[in-house]
Amino acid sequence: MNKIGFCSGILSIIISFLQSIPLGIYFASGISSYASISLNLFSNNNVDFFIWGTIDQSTLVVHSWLESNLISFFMLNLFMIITGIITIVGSTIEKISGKAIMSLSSLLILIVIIYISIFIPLNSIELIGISIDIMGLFTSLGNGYYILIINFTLALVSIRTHPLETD
Amino acid sequence: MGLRKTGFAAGFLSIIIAFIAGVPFSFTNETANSILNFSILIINNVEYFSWGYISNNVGYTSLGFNSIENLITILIWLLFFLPGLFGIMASSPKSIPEYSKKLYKLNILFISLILFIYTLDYIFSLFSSLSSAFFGFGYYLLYIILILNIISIKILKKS
Repeated sequence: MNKIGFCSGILSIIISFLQSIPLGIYFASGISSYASISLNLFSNNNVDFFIWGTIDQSTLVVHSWLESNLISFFMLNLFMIITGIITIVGSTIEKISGKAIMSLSSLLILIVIIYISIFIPLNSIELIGISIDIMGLFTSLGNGYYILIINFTLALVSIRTHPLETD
Repeated sequence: MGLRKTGFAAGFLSIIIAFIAGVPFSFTNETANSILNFSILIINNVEYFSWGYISNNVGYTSLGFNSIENLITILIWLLFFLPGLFGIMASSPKSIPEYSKKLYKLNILFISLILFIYTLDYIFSLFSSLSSAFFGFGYYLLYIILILNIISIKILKKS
């Protein structure tokens, strides 16, 4: 089993679905946490952007990409969910096909990073409804973006370290 | 080779310390009578954990801030989280013993570093006349994790 690939897959699933990573979890009438690390990609004008959608911090209104922008839904949310699933499946296949899946997953993560870094600032009005310049984006990057970079690095390493069965 | 149980237990405990603040126990009628707290240090009624601290029942962490302070906190938190990840990875049935041994050694280094930092912190707070400092349950759990990692290496060497 490709453990680094498996970790990359888990990271992909986490940033595809979660708003934050809970820290200091305690169990009082359900599961709660004292603190959390936000997984926002970047923030602009009090709006936090995630892989799955946006949160307006002033009104606390949540929009998923599925309802606000279909292109972003396909390029961000769907790509990351597919990446997470195929990476976890590919990490268990100790064949050349497994290695090909790991390569595909790293390519998908790279596409997501390029989409966030280049396409969103260039077409911000059409894609997310807010004007963002490229420098503005890079001064307001969040933890989610850095986790995405770590995820990409892990996916690249997992291609090299992918175990192949010897018959 | 099957799952290396001591290494897995050490990794699991490290993950618990990295994420969980407390676990309730001693239940009567679905209500917990007591909470097992994983705080590492308690100074002036402020409980310090791997991720931040709790003061007056409110948790604070600087892990999410975009500042230089964030990097130091992330590094300290990683010293808790990575032994968990490494411990579980090194204990899987198909893992290569040589690599597992290296990971366990790395875990021992990380845990020793944490223990050194918190012990130093405790000694410094003892010198301060205004503060009252105690070790929490998490501190002793770190020693258990350290011992479990050492046992894992010994078992690997024997096999």
